[in-house]
Amino acid sequence: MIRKRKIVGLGVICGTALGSMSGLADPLKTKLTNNYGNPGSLIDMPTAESAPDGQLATSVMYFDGFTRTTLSFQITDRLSGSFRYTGTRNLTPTFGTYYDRSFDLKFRVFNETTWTPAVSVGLRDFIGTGLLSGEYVVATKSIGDRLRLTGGVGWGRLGSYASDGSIGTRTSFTFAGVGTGGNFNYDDWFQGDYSVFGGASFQVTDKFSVSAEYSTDNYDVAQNQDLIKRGSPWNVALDYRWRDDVHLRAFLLHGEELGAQLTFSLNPKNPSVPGGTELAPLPVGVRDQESAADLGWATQPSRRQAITSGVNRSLAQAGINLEGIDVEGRSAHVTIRNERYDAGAEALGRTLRSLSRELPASVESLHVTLMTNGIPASTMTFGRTDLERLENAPAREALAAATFTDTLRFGDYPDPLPGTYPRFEWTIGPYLRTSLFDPDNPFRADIGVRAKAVYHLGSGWQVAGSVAQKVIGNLDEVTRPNTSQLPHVRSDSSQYNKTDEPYLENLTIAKYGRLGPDFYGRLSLGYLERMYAGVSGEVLWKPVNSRLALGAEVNYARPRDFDQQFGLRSRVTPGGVIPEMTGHLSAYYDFGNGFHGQLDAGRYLAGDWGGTITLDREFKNGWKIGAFATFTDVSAQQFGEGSFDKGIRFTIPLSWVIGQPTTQKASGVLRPLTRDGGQRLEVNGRLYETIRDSHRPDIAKSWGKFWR
Amino acid sequence: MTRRKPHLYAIGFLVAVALTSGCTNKDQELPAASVIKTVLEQRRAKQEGVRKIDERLVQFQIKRALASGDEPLALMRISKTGSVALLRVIETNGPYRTWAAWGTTERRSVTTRGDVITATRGLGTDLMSSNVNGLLRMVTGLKDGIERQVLRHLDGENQIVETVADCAFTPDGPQSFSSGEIRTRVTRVDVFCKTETGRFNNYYLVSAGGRIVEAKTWLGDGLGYFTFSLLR
Repeated sequence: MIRKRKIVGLGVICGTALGSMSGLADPLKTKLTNNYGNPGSLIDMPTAESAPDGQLATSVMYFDGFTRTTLSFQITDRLSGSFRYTGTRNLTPTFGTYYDRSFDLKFRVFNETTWTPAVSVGLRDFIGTGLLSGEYVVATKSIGDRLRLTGGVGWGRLGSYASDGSIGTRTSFTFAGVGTGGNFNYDDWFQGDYSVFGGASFQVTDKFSVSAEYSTDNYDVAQNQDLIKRGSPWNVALDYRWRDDVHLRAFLLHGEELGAQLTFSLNPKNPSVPGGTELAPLPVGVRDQESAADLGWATQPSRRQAITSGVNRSLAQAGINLEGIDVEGRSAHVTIRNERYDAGAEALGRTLRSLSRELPASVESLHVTLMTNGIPASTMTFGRTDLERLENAPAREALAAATFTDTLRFGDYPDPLPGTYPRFEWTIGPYLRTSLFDPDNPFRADIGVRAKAVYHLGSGWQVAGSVAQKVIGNLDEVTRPNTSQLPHVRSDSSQYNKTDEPYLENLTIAKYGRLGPDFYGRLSLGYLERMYAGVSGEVLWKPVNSRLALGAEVNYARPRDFDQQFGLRSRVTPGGVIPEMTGHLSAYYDFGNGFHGQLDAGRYLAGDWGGTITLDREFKNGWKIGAFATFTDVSAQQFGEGSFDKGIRFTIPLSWVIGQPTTQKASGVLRPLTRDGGQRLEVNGRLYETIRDSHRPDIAKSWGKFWR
Repeated sequence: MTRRKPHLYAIGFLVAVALTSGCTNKDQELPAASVIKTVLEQRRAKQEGVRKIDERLVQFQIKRALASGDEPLALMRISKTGSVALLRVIETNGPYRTWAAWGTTERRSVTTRGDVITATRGLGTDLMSSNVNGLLRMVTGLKDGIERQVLRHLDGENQIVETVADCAFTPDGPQSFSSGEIRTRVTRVDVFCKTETGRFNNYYLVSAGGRIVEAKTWLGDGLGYFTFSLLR
């Protein structure tokens, strides 16, 4: 049997290396995912295929007590990452269902050519308990448009059946050896027994495809528990493309186990309507050259008032708030608040066109200052002649004509118009709060009603608060004992969900200000978040044309009562005393290629010192998908399950969904576990995310919308 | 016009619940009901297909518009949706004229140069700008030959993407043309264009004075063919 299998495996390798007589296919892309949720058209085995760049897929697979839910993201054209949550019934006597979290990475080293296959290297479950861990080198070659052949070498689980050899030594998986999990077991990567696997997929019709593979995953742990019979190494599957981004799969594993998988996918690059469906802007008002010399209007106070009213009305029609205006003979300066356009370039483009229609012909220099939280964030200068000249030219020419300056360097800016302050805003709406990955119940949620209000007292001054009332949910049903060895800074979060009364999420008074050219400041005082109250101060250095920013934050905070009324509770917890002072130094850098990095170093809530590294893939339409990891002086043993804090974060712009401009967006963080190490205060209005949208690097990203 | 993805409906509803508000006094905040309505309207618009417009009504509106003044007027037909719009000039910038619907304040517009559409706004998947200099030279000069045309659109990440088309211009024989107040002999110029991913065929009707009185032009995958006819 083993000899026969080897021949099959070698046959596939030879086939992939030499078999193609057809021309080069489209780069090996697929929207299918395998049973581990990784991009690929086989079943349990990996392939060298990739999903389209940016593709985000969620798959749910089930067979005979085995469930795998995987979120997979094509991070770059060559690199994909996956986060998986598995549940296996009766895998150990200790748990009815054994839940496990794991991460995968796959990198395409070589692209397919006319004669050679694509080659990828992958790590499966490289940071987790190691239950699913395996590494591989795999090659895939397309033959024509429909057939793809795959062959590879796998270690770990992928080398657990009929080994072809061994390299070094590898620690076998045992439940006792899991420990706190969540560690990089790099000593074991590409070590131990290895096996050769292979398979083929064939696109039968536009809707159906079939695949077959020779699997080298022996399911050792499951077989030991008699959960699975492995009658054959062969797996087969039938895939059905229900809709463009919805795939259904039925599969047969080892001739014994019948299962199914459902995969949903989307791509942040594909919004509902590219370019949006918003109504047309005003066209540029073109001046009569003879009237450009006329300055008579400047001597008429009533004319100035009419200009202000006209600009205000025109901007309001575009959904932009005019906060101030100064018009001189040859130049005009307006300060605006943009709360509609998620593409800052569109707000600027519409503002300039409104100005071109409302200002006297003598005005040539147009200055627009973007106000954020009541402070000037940047000033753009645009020549009116350029505006008239470039209206029908490619957008890049307008970008070259625009100048961005720090408002404080530019000089004075207009005083707020009467009526700008004070200003009161309120919102009432539903909220959804979730708790994931609790072994007793992997998904819990509360739905409730939230009322939020902001009172803008004056330039940079805000009083903001949020009150919520749970309507229905089960977040209060968490019963797991908290055994954290650290001060319980987050692990008591379930206590905050037990109240049935209206509760105060936050209530703060904050002051935003400019501390000097390139410098911004924030001071927040009050109930900063659901769990902490105190004072938070922040300074940010961010030149208006720079992709680099540096920040510092210092907080004095004490834990709030679990009922989230106005009281504070003792800082003494079973794991230790919660310190009052925390703070961080931060560096932010936009790499300019769709990636954004952030480094934070300092003292975390439990008094632990360390740093957080965050890397986001940022799409130019506002989608962000990233991952973070925090390493502090807390040992894995002290930290507990998971060993260190890590997670995935995302932002979805609402404009992407509805095709209309809006600055509203949904953001969230997905943590495998929330423990006490590496935790920071959650403070509203941190400066970097507040300011960066108004600076040139971010505005230039969406410059295509300047003329939209 | 726009291919809508099924998952967007699900995401729309989820985001509406998780993100938007029920009600607010903020002008720019979209309440959940508004978001859901927008998603449903877009879905309905997609399912509507090509509209059938009563031609008698169109002719009636043309007569009314022509009788109301002496401003330039044009009729625009959108093949993909069956929509018809009577247009007037709302702004002029050098050789470019921006047109919007006559008799309404609807904020959708097209821009023309030499009476060939070079840009649209407010129609979804808009044509942001285009180069038509060579095209105008070929068409108005009734020349036979090859010329390049460039169309610019926004992609899903708000980046300008250019569609470069190599077009073959072939003047045809003379024919009569009647539209609104225009009654004239014209020469039809057929244009066959090839892009990296497909083909499209335009035509232009050129009067003896070199004026393009009607043009049927392809404006991109999302917009399809537009026919722009002068009425005066």
